[in-house]
Amino acid sequence: MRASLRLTVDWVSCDGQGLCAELLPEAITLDEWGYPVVDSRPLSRTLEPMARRAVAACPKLALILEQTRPVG
Amino acid sequence: MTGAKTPLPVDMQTLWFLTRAAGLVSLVLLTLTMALGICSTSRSVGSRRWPRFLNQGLHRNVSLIGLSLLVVHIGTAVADDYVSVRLRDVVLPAGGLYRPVWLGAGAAALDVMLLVTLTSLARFRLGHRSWRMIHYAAYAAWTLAVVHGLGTGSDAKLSWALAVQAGCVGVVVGAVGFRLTDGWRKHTGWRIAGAAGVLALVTVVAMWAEQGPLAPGWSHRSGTPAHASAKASG
Repeated sequence: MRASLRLTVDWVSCDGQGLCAELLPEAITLDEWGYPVVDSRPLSRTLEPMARRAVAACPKLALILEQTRPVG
Repeated sequence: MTGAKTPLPVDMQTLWFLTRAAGLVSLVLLTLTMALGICSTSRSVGSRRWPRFLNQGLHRNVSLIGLSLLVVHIGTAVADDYVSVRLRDVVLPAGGLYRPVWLGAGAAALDVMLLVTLTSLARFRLGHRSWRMIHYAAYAAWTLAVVHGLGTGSDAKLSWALAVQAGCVGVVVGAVGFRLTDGWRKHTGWRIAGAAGVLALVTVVAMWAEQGPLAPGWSHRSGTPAHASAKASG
């Protein structure tokens, strides 16, 4: 089975700059204080390039793209 | 032929002209890089029509274009054999044969720029804090580049070139001014210290420029080899 992709936020580092939501509105929206709300479902493979761009754009290096291998 | 060489005909000075042109244009691009970088830290810059990732992407890409032009600037300066710029002079900030101190300022600027660029490419390994501390060195690199341009630039005294350089300084000072006033009241002490530092630095560089590169006889005082003087001042 293929590994699935998941975006997570390092909340210690994140200070709500908001570039991630500009680049990946498909999976990230901002709450009323400007902090990201990340879609908790695994990310579609077609979004992977844009997700990598969003990760690279985060000024605080707080957005993380994880590969998770489903158990079993 | 003995003594001073006569200046080469224009069509044989291509490399030298390229050096000068690429130097000035890369200063403009690196100035733009500075302004974009300084402004991209601010939350108030983004809008629906000009999202913040645009600032950031331009900052990264314009810096790389500027560095590529710097490769042209340096490559042609080394390749041109009228004034002697050796490979060692590209990175070592002392001991050059042509206006050594001010050529050295350019080498130091390059060293710092390379440090800033390489650490940015390795930002994920480095972590945000260390990366950011090192990234502040860009201010020093840019300032050294301006001083290098005034000190070695054969065109620095031309009125339009002076206007371009003054414009570059104005753009960066303006961006810093915006940065220091944006979100006022937080870190007030740092902001005032920053503003005082910028004013002091601009004053010192302007006074030096007036007494040095813009005053008569700079070509000789800055250490231009005799055979190149005719050309460098022309």
